[in-house]
This record gives sequence, structure tokens and C-alpha cells, in this order.
Amino acid sequence: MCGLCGFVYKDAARTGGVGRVLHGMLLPMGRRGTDSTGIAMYGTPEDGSYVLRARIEANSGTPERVLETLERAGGVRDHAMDGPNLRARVAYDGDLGDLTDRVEAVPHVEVFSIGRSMEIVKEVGDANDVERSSPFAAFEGSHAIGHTRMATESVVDVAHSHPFWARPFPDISVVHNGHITNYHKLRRKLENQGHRFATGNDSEAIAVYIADKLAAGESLEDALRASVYDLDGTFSYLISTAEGIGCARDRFALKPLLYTENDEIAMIASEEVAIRSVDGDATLEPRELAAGEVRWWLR
Amino acid sequence: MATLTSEIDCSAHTTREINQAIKRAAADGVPEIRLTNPAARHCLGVAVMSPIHVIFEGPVGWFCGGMSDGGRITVHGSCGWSVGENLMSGSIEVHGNGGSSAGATLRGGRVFVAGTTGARSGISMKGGTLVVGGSVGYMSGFMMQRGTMIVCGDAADGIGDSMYEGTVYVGGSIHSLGADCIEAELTDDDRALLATELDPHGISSTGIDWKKLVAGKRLWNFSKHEYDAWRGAL
Repeated sequence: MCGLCGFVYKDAARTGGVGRVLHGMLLPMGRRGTDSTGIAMYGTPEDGSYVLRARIEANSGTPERVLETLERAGGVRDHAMDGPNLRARVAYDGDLGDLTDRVEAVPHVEVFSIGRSMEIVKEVGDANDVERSSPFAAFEGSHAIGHTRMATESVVDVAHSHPFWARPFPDISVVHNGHITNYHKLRRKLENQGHRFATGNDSEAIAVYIADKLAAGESLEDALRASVYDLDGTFSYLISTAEGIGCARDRFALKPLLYTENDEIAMIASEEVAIRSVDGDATLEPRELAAGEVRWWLR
Repeated sequence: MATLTSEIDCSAHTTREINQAIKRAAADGVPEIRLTNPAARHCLGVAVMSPIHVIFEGPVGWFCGGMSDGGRITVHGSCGWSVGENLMSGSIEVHGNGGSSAGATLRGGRVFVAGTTGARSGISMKGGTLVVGGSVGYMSGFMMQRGTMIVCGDAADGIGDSMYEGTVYVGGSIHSLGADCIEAELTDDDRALLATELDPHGISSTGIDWKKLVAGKRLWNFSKHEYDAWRGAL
């Protein structure tokens, strides 16, 4: 059992307090997953730079080594450390897989995300624990997805927490509730195509699977529809890109997922209690996704 | 003398406090209790064992009214999974959409959802009546053993799969029948029953192409000569 939630402003020009909304949605979803919590949020890209989010689990010069690596790669526009969590804006125009490898070559460093607009923060614990270690509730942006995790098959640590960045594709991440039973086969297939995985978590494969299809020119709609047949097992998942959010539910409807929307916004969640925990339009009527149904909201 | 109506703001209480307050009001003979700001919380109004009218002014979460016996629950909003699970008697009316497993293991009484419900609605019903004003999701009526399910809208794939007994009525289209679920002839008694069940909700049962679904009973006993039927069910 895990909790999913998402929020998007439909108008491409509109941004707002998506961090505050996600914080409100994630708190009641904590009952569906007490192990860890994470958010992928999308802000406004600045001067062509990438935003890197990473966890540095060591002191004594390690942060400086990471910054030196980024400086050599293209330059650090600015950076901030919240405890072990680094946020850096980086000037870079190469392959993001290479940049990630170079940063993670520094011992005890885990890259959470690199994107033009996407930033992933996550922590062991609930939404308030994330807020304490990587403040996100004040984040202004266009859309965001969040996750509360109840671990079933891989370790409880921040590396295995959702959202998963679809490395090395910028601005794509996934949150997932369920179990992908053809994970190893799917992962081998993607690895044979040259993709690399950062964890042993089945949810990461969904992110790379979708990102691979988008990179090949498929639409988000087509990728979502194909996923319902290519992924075995039980799942509800949300995938976010720089343009918006998509979601899908398995063909047996075994994991919950519902959505609601009006002309301005769309909200997606495992349970309605997440939607009702946010001050908003009380007339919004939620509806469950049907078995095998996919939906998407692109700005 | 008990007051006619009690009122509770759910936002100021835990779920346990709310449910205990409902029980206290019922024990005190209060005929009606109104609950504001339920905010889609789970397990509200479970095990209501006395004839009290519980009114939720907003959406409720999962398992609302579950295991109740004799109460009347009205929800002015939507509900989550398993509304009225194992209801013994009494009624639950939801004036919004429902989630999956609506009326699961229903044993008696009535569950009405005005909007759509999700997958496995009416799963393993053992009695009672489930009425859905809209459509139902995948494999609704799965392993139904007794009772009546009325679907005014469409039925998704696998309706009535492996049902033992009971009756399902569908007013809209049927995407596919489940294993050993067959269509039976609609009788005047069926039409009368549909009118009796739907009229109180302001839904006309006439002018609708009702389909009556029952168990084919081929799965009641294993027969090696009907291997295909079993392979499809399993």
C-alpha cells in the first residue's frame, strides 16, 4: 500500500502554490505509507540551466567535491545546502547520464533529479519530515506529484523513496502504488537498450519505460495506453513531465486511483481524503479511473 | 426528552469519537444526527445498530456504514471504497459517486449510490439490494451468492463473474459477461421489482432495455466434460 497524489494547473501560463497543495494532500496519504515521502515539483526554468537535487551523506569536503565536479562540468549558477540536501543550478549542455555519473562518482552522493523545471525532494518519514529536511511547501510552480511509501520489496531508505527520476531523461518522474511482476524482464529489456537503473525498485522501471517511449517520439497518451498492457501486476501510477501529468490504473483495478478537475486544475489521488484536505472547490466531484483507464493533463 | 436532531462537526473529532457519538445519540433515542465536514474520512458511521438517521453533509471515505444493522445513512457527497460493506439491514444512500467494492458482502438492507461505482461493486453479495444510478466497474457482482443488484447505467467487463445465485439487472450496455453469467428473460415480476426499488430514488424504470443476469450454474459442480467452462472461470 502506498499513497499517490498529483496537482496541475491546466493553463500553461499559470503557476501557484503547488508545494502547499501537495503538502496538504500528502499528510492524509501518510496513512497509506509511513516509510518515506517524496515530491516531484515543477517550477519555472531559469536561464537555460538545470536544477540538480542530490543527497550528500558525508561531510569533510564532500559537498565541495560535488560542487567542484559541477563547476568543471559547466558551472554552478547558485546552490544551497539544507543539511545533507543539495540544490544547485547548473550550466550544462551535455548528456545528463554522464553528469549524474560524474556527481555520483563522489562517494556517498545520490542524485535525486536533474531537470530544467523538475525538482525532487524526498525523505524517510512523512510530509512534515520532508518539509523539515527539504522545505517544499512554499514552492511555486505549475504541477507536482507526490508519494507516501509503504515498502514491500526493497529497503526503506531515501534512495528507494519515490518519486523516481527517469534518469537520464530531464523532467520525467514517476510515483507508483503496486507491484510490477515483470520488472526483471522489463528492466533487462531497457538495460539492453542502454538505460541504467539507480535502484532495485520496480517503480523506477515505469519511469524509464515511459521516458524511453517519449524520447522515441511517442505521445504521452500512447505511452500510457501501451503501459497498461506492457506492465504486468498491480499498479496505479502517475508520471510527470515538464508539460504535465499522466496516470494509469491496471486492468484489474486492484490499486485505487481517482481524479477530479475543473476548468483550472486537476487533482489525482489514491483516496478522496487527499483532495478534501486541501482548501478548494468543494463542488469538485471525484471519479475513479476504470480498470485499465489512462488519463493525462498537458499544459 | 431527546432532542430531535444532534449535530457534530467532524473536523473537531476523531473518527472513533464521531462513531461513539452516533451510537450514544441512537441509544438516547435521537432520531437524526447531522455530521458536517466529514472530508472523505474512512470508517464513518460503521456499525450503526439502532434506527437512527445519520446524515453526512459532505463526502465520506472508505467503508462508510459498514457492518451496520438497522440504521439509515444519507451521504450528501461521494463515498470511497466498500460503502455498506457487510450491511445487515437498514439503508445507505449516497448522493454522489462511489468507489470500488460498493456493497461488498452485503447481507441485507439497501445501498443506493446515485452516481457511478468502481470495480467489483456488489462482490460476494449474500443478500440485500445494491442500486447504482450510474455505471459499475470491472467484475461487478463477482461471486454473488444472493441478493439483487440494479445497475441503471453500463456494466464494465466481467459482470456477474462466477456468481452462484442472486440477480443482476443492467439498464445500459454490458461490455462482457463474466464466467457462467447468463442473461435470463425479464418477467413482469422483475419489472415490478425494478419500479419498487427505483421509484423512491426518483428514477423511472420504464422505457429502459433492462437485462436480467443470473448464474448459469455450470460452475456449481465440476464436470470434466465442461472443461472449457472451468478454464474460463479460473
